[in-house]
Amino acid sequence: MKLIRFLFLLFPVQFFAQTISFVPVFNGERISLSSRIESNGDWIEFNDCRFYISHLVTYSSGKVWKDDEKAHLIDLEENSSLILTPLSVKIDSISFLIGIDSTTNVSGILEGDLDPINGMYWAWNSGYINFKLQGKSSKSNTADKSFEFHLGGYLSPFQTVQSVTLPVKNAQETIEIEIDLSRFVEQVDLSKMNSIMIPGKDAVHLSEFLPLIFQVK
Amino acid sequence: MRNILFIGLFGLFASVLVAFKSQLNSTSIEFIVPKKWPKPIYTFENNPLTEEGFQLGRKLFYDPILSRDSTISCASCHLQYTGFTHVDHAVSHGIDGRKGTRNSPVLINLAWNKIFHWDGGVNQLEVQGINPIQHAAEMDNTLEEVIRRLKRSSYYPIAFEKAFGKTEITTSTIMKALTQYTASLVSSNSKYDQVMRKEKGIAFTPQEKNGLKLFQRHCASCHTEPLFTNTFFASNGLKMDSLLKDVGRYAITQQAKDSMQFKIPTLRNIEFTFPYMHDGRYKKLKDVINYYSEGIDVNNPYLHNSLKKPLHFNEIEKKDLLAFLLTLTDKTFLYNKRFSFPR
Ligand code: HEC
Ligand code: HEC
Repeated sequence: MKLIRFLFLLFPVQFFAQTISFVPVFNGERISLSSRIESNGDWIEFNDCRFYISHLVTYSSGKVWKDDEKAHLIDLEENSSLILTPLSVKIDSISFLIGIDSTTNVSGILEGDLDPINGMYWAWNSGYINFKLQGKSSKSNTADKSFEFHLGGYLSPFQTVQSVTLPVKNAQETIEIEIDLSRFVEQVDLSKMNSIMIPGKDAVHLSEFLPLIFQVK
Repeated sequence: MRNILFIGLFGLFASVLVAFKSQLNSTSIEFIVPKKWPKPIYTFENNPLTEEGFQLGRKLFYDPILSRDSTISCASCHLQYTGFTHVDHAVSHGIDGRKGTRNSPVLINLAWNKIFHWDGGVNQLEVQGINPIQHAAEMDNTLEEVIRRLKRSSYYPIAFEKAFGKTEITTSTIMKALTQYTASLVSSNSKYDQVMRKEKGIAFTPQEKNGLKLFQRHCASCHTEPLFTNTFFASNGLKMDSLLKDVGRYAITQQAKDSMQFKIPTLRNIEFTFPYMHDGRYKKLKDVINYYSEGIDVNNPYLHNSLKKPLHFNEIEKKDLLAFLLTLTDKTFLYNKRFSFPR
């Protein structure tokens, strides 16, 4: 890798900076993550939404650019943007995995965004949490109205990683990917299910809805 | 353009220099695979074994700095003289005297293990160490706090630089150092090994020889030579403890077929690794042999097929089997100074 960078110093190739930013949305409206959303006498608020994006690829008029980072941890409250250097800014579409593939899950200790210190790793059942959503809602029947979904798991038959391809209509310097949390919450009856903390059937079921919540503005 | 070329060349020169320097700092050592053993699973591929890395891992292993109140080290539950298990404790005891739910396993020949913990919840040796550090009944600490303390110490930053070429201390370098130590805990010099290597003047007694025969017939499908585990999971028919309610591998895979399946432990150094089984329910090796001989409930639905036919050893056979199991004791391992508390 160092050598490639060095060669680029000698033979400059045109690189473009492109920002992808992830923005939280509820029912199509932008929200700030921790604000309370009310509708029909019910309310919901989110206090943590973090997830991994990996194997990111951009397509621009026949040119394919592959991200060489293993994975990016996106935190909708803090680090919600990525800066990429695709081969052209005129991106037609973008594809990625929500979560971490099985090979990476069995690769021992990793660094950076994949450092278990980030709180997106199960030590007792080694593997990454692909998607984490926590908050409170009037519908949740826990004492403090909280709910928490830690979705992950790579072992067959309970694989949870999801792939998404999103068309980009009018490519600009910044591509905004909206994450409509209402589409996820809609799938869960919070009065019955308000906590998933292990891999298994439920995690697979809910993970299948994740691709539906991503969309390019 | 010339400037760029110059900067580029300078950069290349500097990185060669840095690489050279970090190589000077650490002494690589070879991981020796005993003759005729299978290939190890852990190959140090992304964690080259060095003397400095090993010594750092050893230091960390014996240092209570890793636990919240600095009272518990890895060695508190994994004591060398007992094959690195928690002697005399059915389930492990950690911080504030809190009891865990499982017996600490031995740390022997870990480099040949595919998967770790009694339920196989840990998929690679490097990531195992996060568990005891964070576990409320073990060290009850956080990775952040461990890193903060190590950075503050007068010893560790230099030791990490020597081992990994950078002073920065991260989860990754801590885990890799621990792994260099634990993966190096190889036991391959028991009487059994010496006989197999046909060393001069070493032979099984007739009793041990007969024990080996019984063992190969009834036990070796699971406790397979030379590791004395086939590294898979099975149920040897133990009834679920009514308090601990441990379902074994099912907790990890959520699949019915894995109910009550536990990791098949190695039997190396078994003489000293009591109490036995995942919950430490048997204190004596004799009790274990009696269990296999006539204690198994053959109607236990989880019981592995190979144990469905009652063994009913007679008293002589029991003694022979025991005599053979004692040949798996490796004193050079249990008393190897290289693995002991670093002075
Ligand atoms: C409080 C006691 C305790 C402490 C402290 C402790 N362990 Fe353990 N260790 C255990 C128990 C119990 C298990 C089995 C866990 C299970 O199966 O769920 C275990 C399992 C292991 C295993 C897996 C062995 C196998 O064959 O599956 C390794 C490796 C290990 N420990 C290393 C360490 C290291 C390194 C440290 C220090 C960072 C440490 N342990 C600290 C009790 C402890
Ligand atoms: C079907 C596979 C299987 C067979 C056959 C088998 N074992 Fe085991 N053995 C196991 C499993 C699994 C465990 C751990 C069980 C647990 O803790 O729940 C175990 C545990 C043990 C232990 C305790 C080890 C420790 O560190 O706690 C001893 C000793 C032992 N077996 C000896 C034997 C002997 C002797 C035989 C033959 C008479 C035998 N085993 C046959 C699967 C088997």
